[in-house]
Amino acid sequence: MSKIIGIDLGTTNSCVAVLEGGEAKVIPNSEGNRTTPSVVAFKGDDELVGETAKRQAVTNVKNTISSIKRKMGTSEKVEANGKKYTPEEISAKILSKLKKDAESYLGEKVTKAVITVPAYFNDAERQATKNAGKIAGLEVERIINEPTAAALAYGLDKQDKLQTILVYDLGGGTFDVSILELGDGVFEVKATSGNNRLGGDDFDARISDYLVSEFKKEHGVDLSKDKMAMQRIKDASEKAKKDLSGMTNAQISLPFIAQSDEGPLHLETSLSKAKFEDLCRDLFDSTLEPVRKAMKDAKLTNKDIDKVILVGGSTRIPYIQDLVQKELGQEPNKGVNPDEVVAMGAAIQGGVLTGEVNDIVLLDVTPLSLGIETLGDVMTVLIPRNTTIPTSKSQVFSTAVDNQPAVDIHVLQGERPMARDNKTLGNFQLTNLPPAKRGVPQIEVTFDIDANGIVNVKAKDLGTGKEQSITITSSTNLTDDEIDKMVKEAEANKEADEKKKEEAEVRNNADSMIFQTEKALEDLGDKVSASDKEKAEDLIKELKSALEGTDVDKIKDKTEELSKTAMDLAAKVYQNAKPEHEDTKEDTTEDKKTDDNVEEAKFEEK
Amino acid sequence: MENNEEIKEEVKKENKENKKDKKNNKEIEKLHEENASLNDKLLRVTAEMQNMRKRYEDEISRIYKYDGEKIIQKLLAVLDNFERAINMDTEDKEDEISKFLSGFKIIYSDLRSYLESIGVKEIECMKQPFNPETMEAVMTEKAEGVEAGIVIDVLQKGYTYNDKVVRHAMVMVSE
Repeated sequence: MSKIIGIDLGTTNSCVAVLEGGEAKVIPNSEGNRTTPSVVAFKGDDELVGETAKRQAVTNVKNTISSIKRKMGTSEKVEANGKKYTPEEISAKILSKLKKDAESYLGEKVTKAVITVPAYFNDAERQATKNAGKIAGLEVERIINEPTAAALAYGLDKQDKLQTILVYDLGGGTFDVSILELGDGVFEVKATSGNNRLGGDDFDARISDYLVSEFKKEHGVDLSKDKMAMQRIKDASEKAKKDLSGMTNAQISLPFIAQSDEGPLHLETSLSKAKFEDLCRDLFDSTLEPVRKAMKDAKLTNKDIDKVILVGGSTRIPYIQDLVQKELGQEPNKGVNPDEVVAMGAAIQGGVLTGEVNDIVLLDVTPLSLGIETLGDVMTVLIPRNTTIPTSKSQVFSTAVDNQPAVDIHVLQGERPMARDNKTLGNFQLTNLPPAKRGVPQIEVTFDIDANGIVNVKAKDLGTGKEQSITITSSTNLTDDEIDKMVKEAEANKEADEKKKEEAEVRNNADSMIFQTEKALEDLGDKVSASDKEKAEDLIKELKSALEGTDVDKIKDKTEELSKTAMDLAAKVYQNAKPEHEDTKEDTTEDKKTDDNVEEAKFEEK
Repeated sequence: MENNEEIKEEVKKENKENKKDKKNNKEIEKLHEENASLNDKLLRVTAEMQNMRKRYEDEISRIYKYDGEKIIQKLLAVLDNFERAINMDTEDKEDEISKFLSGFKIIYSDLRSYLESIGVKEIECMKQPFNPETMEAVMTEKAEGVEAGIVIDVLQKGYTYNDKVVRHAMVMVSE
């Protein structure tokens, strides 16, 4: 079945999305942007749509049409190029462009779409939108309300109880409030309100006016007459507004903005978040009135609202978020990109219609990381949290001491780096390992999680082929609260944990340095001078005693010292040796390489 | 008699087996159907995965190709400011400002040639017909002896990077 695209046909900007692998994805337009201006222009025989139309607007005012959405459903026609167009025809040109962009992204023809409209649109306006789709060569499978689409994008249809949702949508040029009731997958619009002449552009204008008036105060020059300067100020204002969603201060730097008798003038200033809020407070606060009106119309109070959703780019402004939270007494949902959330919801509705949504087995993710305990009480993660399941993962480990006859596999779940701070899921042993030096045996540990979250852990000695396994069914028994608690604990203890882990690593390094040096001394035998040997042995003794203590820095220093000594020792031996020994040297490095791949597990001796 | 009984028994048994066979056949048919539909689903999911991968690969290669676009856009703003400074230079090449600006000119041409070397090109606009693909019109004006739709002033230069417009030229167009 061919894909159904979801289209948010907006007043100032439009957006198209499609369901991909069960998730909504926004399709970039041919210029690489994720939203397309809802502007259409005629130029001779050419029709321009989107960004190109917007860029030529001033040269072609008469034949450039924007905000056609405001006229949908009316019989009013717009004239361009000496021809009269219905609002449907103009909207169809925008839809055609979105359709084409979707086709070039998907690499296949698109014939079906779900299109969104404001909740307050009447039948005529909805019919007009449907007609626009038809003219554009799209079968409009459904017209859905923008707030409904937003709720779908947040997955709010998946709850089983009846809920009431308030959608606060502040876009580039319009503001809408909708209250929806949702139960059994059916959305009912309880009330709508808004102001169709308020949006982000108004906030930019306030900043621009402020900058111009400040500049005039300081330099006595009126920039508002200089179109070039005004263009730069407008761009800088929008950028400052966006910056202030993440920072408390925005730098505005427009050098050489004007010329005076004394030389060039620069506009160099900063705009604080507080000042920006001062400049726009009345506009921001004015959005509360429609919210209150909608609440009153729906005969609801704050406690009746289960969820609040923010839609539209301007809801990124922290003041707006606080305002909504204070007014409604709850934190709004804002995880999905507010410019794209409506188109994404429409794509999800499209997926429901093709059956793609039902077909998709909702795949779970592992809520917490899974791994095993390795040398030094360290948790080595094999499957990180948020991995989509079913999945499986293997890693090769080795032994920690010579002639280790068995390895203990301690299966852990959690986000803490030290094994003891995590939850134990199970324990088992792989026994009867043939005697070998530490680091030589290769034990492959495989984690396999099926779609139900059942974990199977298998350890296999690659040398003998012997294996042992355990099945854990309780890995998903944790409640959401428990998972949340474990993740939060990991965050809270991050610094202390990292220190502990570092200490474990230092100890592991020391341990393996001792082992390597001892092995080298043994291998080199009498090629090492007695004094060198004694020096190395003394250092080993010192490091061993340091390991018994708790002074990590001391262990680190001693390890380094020993490592240097061991290297000198080897260098001396090779210097004295004939070139034919080159081979041996290569061998050693190769050996080391395999060692690096093999992590040493804490496989206790039995 | 005995024989008859035996035959009866056998027929009964056969009937039972037939029934069982029928039941089994039904079961097998059902499983076949299920198997076919699961197979179909699996193929679809696999195909969708492969298609998705192709799409993402395309997207990633596009992103790589224009990697650095954002940095270039920011550098262009610096380039503009150098130009604005240099344009302040007066006719008098011997005064203090000119001497000071000569250093600016060197830095400016360094930055410009660096940008050119990585594939950034200025968009030719002056006296060209207005083209909304590469230019943004911010104002229009009547100009003596110039037909309509021609760029008569460039307010901010536009640039392409690897043939993609990274900044549209801001221009004044004749009416």
